[in-house]
Amino acid sequence: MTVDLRERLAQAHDRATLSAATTGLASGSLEPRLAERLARRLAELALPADFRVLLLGNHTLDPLARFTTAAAFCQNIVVAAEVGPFDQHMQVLLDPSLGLADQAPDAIFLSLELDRLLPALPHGLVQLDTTARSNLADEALAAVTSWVETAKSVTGATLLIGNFWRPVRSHLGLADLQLQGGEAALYATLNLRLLETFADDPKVHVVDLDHAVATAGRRAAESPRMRHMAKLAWAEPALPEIGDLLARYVAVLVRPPKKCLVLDLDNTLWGGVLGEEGPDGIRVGEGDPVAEAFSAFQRAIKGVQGRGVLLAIASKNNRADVEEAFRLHPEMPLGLADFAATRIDWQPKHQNIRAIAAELEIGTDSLVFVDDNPAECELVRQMLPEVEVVQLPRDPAAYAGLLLDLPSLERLVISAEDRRKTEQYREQAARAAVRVEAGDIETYLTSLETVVTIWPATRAELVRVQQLFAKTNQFNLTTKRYKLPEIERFLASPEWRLEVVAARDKFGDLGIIAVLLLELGGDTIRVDSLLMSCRAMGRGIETVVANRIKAIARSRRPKGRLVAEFRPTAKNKPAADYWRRQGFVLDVTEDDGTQRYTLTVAEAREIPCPAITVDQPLIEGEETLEPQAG
Amino acid sequence: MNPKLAEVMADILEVKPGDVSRETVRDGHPTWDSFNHLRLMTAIEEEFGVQFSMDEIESIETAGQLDDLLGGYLAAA
Repeated sequence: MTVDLRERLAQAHDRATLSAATTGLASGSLEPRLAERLARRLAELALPADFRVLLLGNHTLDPLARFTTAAAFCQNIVVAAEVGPFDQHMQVLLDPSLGLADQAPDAIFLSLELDRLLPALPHGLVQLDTTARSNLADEALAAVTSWVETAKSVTGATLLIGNFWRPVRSHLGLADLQLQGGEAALYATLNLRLLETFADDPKVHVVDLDHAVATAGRRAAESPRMRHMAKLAWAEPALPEIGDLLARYVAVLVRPPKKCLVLDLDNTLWGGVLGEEGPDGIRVGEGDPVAEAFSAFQRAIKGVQGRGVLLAIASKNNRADVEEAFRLHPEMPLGLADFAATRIDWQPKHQNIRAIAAELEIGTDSLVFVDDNPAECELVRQMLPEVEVVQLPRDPAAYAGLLLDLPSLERLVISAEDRRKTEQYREQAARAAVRVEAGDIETYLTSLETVVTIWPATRAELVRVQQLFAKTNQFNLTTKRYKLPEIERFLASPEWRLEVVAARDKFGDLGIIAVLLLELGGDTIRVDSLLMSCRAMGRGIETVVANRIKAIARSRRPKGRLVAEFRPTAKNKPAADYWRRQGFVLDVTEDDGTQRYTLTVAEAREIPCPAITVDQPLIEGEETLEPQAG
Repeated sequence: MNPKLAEVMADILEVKPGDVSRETVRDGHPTWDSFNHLRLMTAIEEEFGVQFSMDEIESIETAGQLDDLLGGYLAAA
């Protein structure tokens, strides 16, 4: 099979053929020679890169560049991986002649081998007293933090910082663990301090090289000959694992994240067929290896949910049986309440999957569907090609690992909103129930007791703001996908005003649900971006935000005008009529469908929103210079 | 030239077995770079059950030299 694949790779002369040759190949399963061949093939084809990464460090990184490229391509991402000059990670940042600006990397990976960074540290441990040891550890850490600080001042690239990986042998052998502050303690301390140092920095991610090397096998990863002859830190057997790890970061940075995991029930969440075995006959829980494998899978699903991924059920069963099964098995890690949407009936799966997406107000392209049945998987692949389909293998023991390996469910950070996601959707369902009871819309909206808070964004909201820019599709007037460096620039610049909108109601806290970005020109205020999470749409917050824009304009440019645009996409129809409804006047519709609107500030009128309590700071700034008109 | 050696070289250097001969030279070869050289030597060691020294590995400049070095080890075994 491998040989066949090599031939197919060698014959591939375009991206499509190459993709076909690697289809179904998990990146982690690329054996070294195959990965080398794939990477060389990709270099020859010179495909336009989706992502540029620069590898820097104090050891040879060229092979890792190829493995990263190969692993990323197995996820259908073309990565251009450049390797900086050996042991000149600081010079690359500071010396323009080394070409950092031309490379314009999207991410920079830094990998420092401790032996080479501080030769005195591991070897001299036994001679050093506690203070001297801790000073050396500080020095190692400072080498990383000063590089990060410098990097942040010269590039907007995401910084991927490798942690320190332990060699197979410690110089003190077994006694290392007796010595307070031996090598084992040293590596553990340094790596923990790296995590603590960069925990709150959304642009810096610590990459767990120590774990990747251990996963590949420290013995296989270490080749003294390769080290002495080529300054290679990792021998070939470890490279697929480390390349795969970097490719995972690339995938999360390049692709919009999947938002919901849609699960089958029989032989997926539990063993056996509910309709045949009955609610007490299914296998899940403890005491039998098959049951335990399904429990382990459910715990893995629960873990994925904790990242902010919603769960849903699409199952052909009688709903009453399913409810009974969950009631009879309280030992199951998952309960019915964990699922934000359920479709348990006899409709075809693709229809139910579509219905789940509609209910959760997300696109079908943000779903991952998991089923053990090949026919159901095939149906969904054909009817909804945008859905990522995961067909489970025969052995339930392999389920949990398969799920936790999926790159599409990875997140780099988990915000407070993510942690509460399922709860928020449940509250949403409760709100919908009130809507049905309430009948007339004003009564309903008032009954929600919505409180909206608006404030100028600070660094504390950076991650959430970036997430909203990345993920919001429906209520998004211009769909500009700003990344962190740009957002930071908006925060810092007096010409830009970035505000965030949070909402809560009697059912719970929706968190930060909208972002507003204004550019303050001479006599014009331009609405660059306005976007709102779909779960906050349709309750009048849209109008509260427009009122805010008008209030800002009145205080900052009372004699000026507001300009705004709507740029149509495949998904933002719900926002198409927004500016007109808020009193803006359509100036022109361009060839690409972009609609440009204006509103003279003197004529701007806030539209009352009696159902909502608004809590917003006064607009600081130029009131004293240009007294408010009227 | 040892035909098995030619096969291993062709595989690592990604050329046709017929394109490898004793006259193949490392300097200027499109795929016989320093990293592939180390991969090649490791692959030969595994294939033939021999072990080269670091000096020997560094000294190899042509396929002919490699063939002779390997031949010497195999004859001594």
